[in-house]
Amino acid sequence: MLQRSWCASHPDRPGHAACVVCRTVLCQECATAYDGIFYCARCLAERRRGARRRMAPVGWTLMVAATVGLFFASMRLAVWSGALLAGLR
Amino acid sequence: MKPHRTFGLMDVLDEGVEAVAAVASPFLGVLWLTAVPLRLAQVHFLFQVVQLGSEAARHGRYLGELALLQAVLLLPWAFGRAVFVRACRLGLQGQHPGWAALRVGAVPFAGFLYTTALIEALTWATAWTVVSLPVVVLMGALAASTHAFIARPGLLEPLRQLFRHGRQALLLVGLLAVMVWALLVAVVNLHVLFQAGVWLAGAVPGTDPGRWRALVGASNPRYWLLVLAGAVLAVEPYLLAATTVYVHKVRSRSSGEDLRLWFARLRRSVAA
Repeated sequence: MLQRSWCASHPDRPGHAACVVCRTVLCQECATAYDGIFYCARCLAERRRGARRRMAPVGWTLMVAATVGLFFASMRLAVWSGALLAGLR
Repeated sequence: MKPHRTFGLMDVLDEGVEAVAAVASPFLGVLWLTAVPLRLAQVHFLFQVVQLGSEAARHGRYLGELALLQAVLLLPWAFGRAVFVRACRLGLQGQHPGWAALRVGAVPFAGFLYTTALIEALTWATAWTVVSLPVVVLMGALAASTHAFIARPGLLEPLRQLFRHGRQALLLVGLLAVMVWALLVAVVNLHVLFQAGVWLAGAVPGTDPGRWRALVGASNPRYWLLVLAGAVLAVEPYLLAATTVYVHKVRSRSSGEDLRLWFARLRRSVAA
């Protein structure tokens, strides 16, 4: 059926696949297989943005918690290291 | 004129010096203004450790308060570094680093704070070895130079950016050696400057240089710590600019930006 359709972006090229999200017909150049499923460039970008949006709160939480923890650890280490260096004199 | 010329230590140093001169006003001031409080806090902390000696372990609470002060002062210092590096990078891209240099992104800056905290912890954990200090200083400068490329928040992304640009180990070791040498030269220069100042003050009628001689004498550990802090302040902009140039060159080669610039130069020379 796709062979009889034409690419949405290149009307002179025969259809190779259809985007699984928006059902747009795509030629070989426009179709991108991700996890074995064909996507158009716009839907693939949208999918990646969505994944990033979902990951952002987790990433922020981890990064802030690690930064605060490391600052406290560095304070304790500074005291420990200072006492050690002073004892070595 | 070669199209894909490799770059060496001298290229990085030369362009680093040019970058510092280009952004010195006002971004060198921003860097120093944010760095001076931290350096003074570090000097005070180390002086107290020296004074307490073997009793230091009994004054953990007091030293902990001084360490907290340093941790708080690290925040403006990191911002000053981020702004200075951004100004250098904009200058290298042929743009004028005006107010745009102050617009440090939230994600890159948070990533930079995370790597700064990690490097700070690493510094104190290995401070007793002394030899690890130059390595962590270089890591800190590289973290500042690469923070702009942190695209998303996370624990691995800032470290990935840091290690991705640290592959030319030989060049970085050379850069580190030059900076250590520059630090020694700066310490000697500052010491000579202070001694000359006290010597000249003796020629002014009514001044007693004796008290000043005791303050800036070789037997005063606080004086040596302050001279060292001053030398670090003098060398820091050059180290940051050099690592920024290095990162810029590494990225230009991998993205083809160097070829684009070479073609532009070639076109200009043909047209002329």
